[in-house]
Amino acid sequence: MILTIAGVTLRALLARRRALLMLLLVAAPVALGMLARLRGLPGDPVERTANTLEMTVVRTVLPLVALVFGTSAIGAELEDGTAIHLLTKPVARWRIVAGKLLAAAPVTALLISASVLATGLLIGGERGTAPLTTAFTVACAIGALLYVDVFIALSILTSRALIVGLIYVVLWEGLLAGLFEGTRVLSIREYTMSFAAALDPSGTVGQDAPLGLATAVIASIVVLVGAFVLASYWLSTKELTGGD
Amino acid sequence: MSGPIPGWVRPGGPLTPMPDPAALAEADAAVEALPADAPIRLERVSRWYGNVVAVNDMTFAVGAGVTGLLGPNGAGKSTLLGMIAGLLSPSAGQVTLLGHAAWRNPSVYRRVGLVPEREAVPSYLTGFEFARLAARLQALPDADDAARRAIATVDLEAAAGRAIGTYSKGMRQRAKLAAALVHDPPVLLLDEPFNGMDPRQRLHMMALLRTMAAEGRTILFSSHILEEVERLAERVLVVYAGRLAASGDFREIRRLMTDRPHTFTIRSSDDRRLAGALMDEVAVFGVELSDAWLSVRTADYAGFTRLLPRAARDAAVSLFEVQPADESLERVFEYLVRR
Repeated sequence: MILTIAGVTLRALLARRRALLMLLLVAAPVALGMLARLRGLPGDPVERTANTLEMTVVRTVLPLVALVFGTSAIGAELEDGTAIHLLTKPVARWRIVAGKLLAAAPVTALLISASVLATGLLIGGERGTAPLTTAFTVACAIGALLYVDVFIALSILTSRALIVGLIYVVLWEGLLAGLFEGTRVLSIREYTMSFAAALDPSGTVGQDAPLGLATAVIASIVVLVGAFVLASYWLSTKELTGGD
Repeated sequence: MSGPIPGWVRPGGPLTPMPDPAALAEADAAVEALPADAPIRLERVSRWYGNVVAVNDMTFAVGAGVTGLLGPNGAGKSTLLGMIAGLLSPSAGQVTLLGHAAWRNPSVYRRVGLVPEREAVPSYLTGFEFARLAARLQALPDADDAARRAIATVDLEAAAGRAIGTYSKGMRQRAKLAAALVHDPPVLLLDEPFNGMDPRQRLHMMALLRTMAAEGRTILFSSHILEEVERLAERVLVVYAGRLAASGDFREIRRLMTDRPHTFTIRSSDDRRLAGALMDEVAVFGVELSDAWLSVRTADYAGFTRLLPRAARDAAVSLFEVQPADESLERVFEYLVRR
């Protein structure tokens, strides 16, 4: 059942123009990496790779791609009314959320991972950045799962999920998390950076990672489970109008 | 000033006059009279949005056969069907579908098929894929076979391999019906199912629904078109302004609609003389003369249309214009509510 829902969701996500737009978005860091490679920028390649991946992928492309796929997975169906065909079947609401997550999270993770790998390898090349790039790839995949989970829940709660999600990414994670340390506990970007730091053998990422690994792991589990439970509950209490 | 207003009640919804004890007793008796085993039961169900009452204190049951939910646009039909289908929660009262609460109970969809009014269908799926998806979500053992049968039932085989995005409105309606029928449900809810269908498709769908009703299914469909309901439904629920205006055998309701007072507006060469001639007629029970026209009230619509030319001829009056003043369905429903 979950696989059936995931399959049709995947088709919906990839059948639309947004898939192409997302491809262009994840290609931007790769283009930047290619440029850096061609120009042969000076400085420590490991540090430069870490900075580029954090600034382009973790801070920008990852949350944006997750926002688009996460809010589209069920939000688009609720918006255009096609969700009624899914919600009038004898399927537990948590299974529907699971199916949506199973489609949107891997797509996001796959695109982001490809972007991280290509960008990291282009910038760092053979100069010892492969472990760092791998660390970012794994961390971003986890980040993708968390973001998508939260944005799916958000899209069930409100029809303005895209705007609310953007506010979260830009204001909360971009501004407040930089100003007030306490807010970092509720920042998926910070969890992602913590995972990257923990997995990075060079210790380059860990220098600025403000959140401990244990905190990041616990907070991630709470966010993952919490968003999933809330999404299932909100979906079970979602009212639909079949007509005008 | 705060606190309750004497004689008014606000049970978490809009401010409404306190019902009198006799009305309450009548409503309770109506609930008591509902057949316990009816597949669809509504007990004193209301639904409001803020201060707007969409459905007001409705009690009825729907049994096997075809029942038409008739009412003008905006009467509350979709809200009512939404509550019956478990898509909307009632603000007050109880809706039961096959003996279970409809709201927040997805398991009822194992035995219920719904055709919503909204056209929205995943445009990237083919008709067959859409029906097969419904079969898979119903956990049917052979989804492909069930989808094929449903597609054949609605006569959509020729277009089954095409993406729904390329379908006409009528074809989309049939695709939705195929998905609703794929698990062979004993209860079928259809919201304006004939919208966008051409006459041939309409006849086919009507024949299909009749056959399914004859097999013992409970079919409830909404429509704002009297003729559709007349041709298909054995029983009818007339909804107007969120209230149940009438319910029961269609012929009885039709008689009430036909026998109600009708008003004709007439312009002639001599309105005063014609008024005098018409006042002698038994079928006419009211005449009103104004500067520009003559208004005549009658209880016999067909009889009056026959007698008017004769009365005008006998009185040597030429008729310029004869206009039934209240023939809109709105007025018919309004009359049924006031009755």
